[in-house]
Amino acid sequence: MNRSRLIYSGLISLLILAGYQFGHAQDKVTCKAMVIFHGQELSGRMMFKQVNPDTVRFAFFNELGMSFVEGSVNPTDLQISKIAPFLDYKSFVKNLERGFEELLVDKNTGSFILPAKSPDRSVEMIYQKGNKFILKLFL
Amino acid sequence: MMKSSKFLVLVFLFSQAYYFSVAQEKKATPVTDPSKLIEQVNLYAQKTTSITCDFRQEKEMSFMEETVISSGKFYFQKEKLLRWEYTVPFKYAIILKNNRIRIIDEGKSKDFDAGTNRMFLEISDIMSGMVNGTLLNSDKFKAAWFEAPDKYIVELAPVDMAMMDYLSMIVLEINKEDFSVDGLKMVEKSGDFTHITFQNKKFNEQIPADIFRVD
Repeated sequence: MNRSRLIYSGLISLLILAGYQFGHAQDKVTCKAMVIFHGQELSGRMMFKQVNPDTVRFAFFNELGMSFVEGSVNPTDLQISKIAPFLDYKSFVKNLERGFEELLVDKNTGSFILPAKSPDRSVEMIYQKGNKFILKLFL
Repeated sequence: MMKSSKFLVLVFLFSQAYYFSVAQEKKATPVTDPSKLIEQVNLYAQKTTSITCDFRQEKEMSFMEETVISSGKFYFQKEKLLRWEYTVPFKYAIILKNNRIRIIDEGKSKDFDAGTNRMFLEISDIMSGMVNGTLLNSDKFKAAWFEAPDKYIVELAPVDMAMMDYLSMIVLEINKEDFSVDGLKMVEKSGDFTHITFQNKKFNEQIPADIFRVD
């Protein structure tokens, strides 16, 4: 194979890879969400965005645009990139991680599944840990 | 050769467009003595008894690499009656009547509880403060004024540490003709921001009492 063919095939591979990445970057869901943490009720919108097959970024924010929490999650770990001071507790992060694990991780494959929205938004996914933490996604 | 020169022309055009847009932003110059402007904004606020307008909200989230867009209707009536009504993509309204807050979420009404109440109250104070003029005289912010070709810009930096936790700055874009607020940008500590623009403003029209109903 001569040099120009090598460069050509390299470019094609890069384009295919970029297309793959771009295609996955479009996988996102935004739904209404509610979190109750130690009696404090937060309602707003939760956005999930698949950035690669194992990792999903999420953001929870209210209608006025104030961010509550942002981060990324995979089947074994949750990383916080931004959190409102009144939520910045280990117990909150741990419960959020458990909630995502419970609601969004496929038990058979162990992979993260983006929730599907219902046409009439009638589906509710609920994770509850006693009275201290409740996560509700309205799909 | 032909292709590369076309490419260079494209790069040149894009760089010019970028330079032009940056230059437009930079044309805002500091206003050294804003007292006359403050006076005019206060005069506008005094004359304004009600505002009805449309709004468009864009929330920039760098981590998510996303911009979330929503829109709806805004109602304000003196002294402190406020209704933010989102219609797209979800139906959601926040009503502030004196110091009571009601949320109507997809038709279900609810009075807000203490947790985020404070944040809503702060934001509602900012919203009503900017339309009734009290925000510019507030001791909660340090103001810096700028003049751009098409608007005045007021940068309000919070002095309260608790507010700094979630807001690093509020930027008001003020109309040069009637001194009303055309835009509002709330910049978070992370640099992400929410930009709200107001269109089709109607001043001093009668707003039905039901719009602000919280009973």
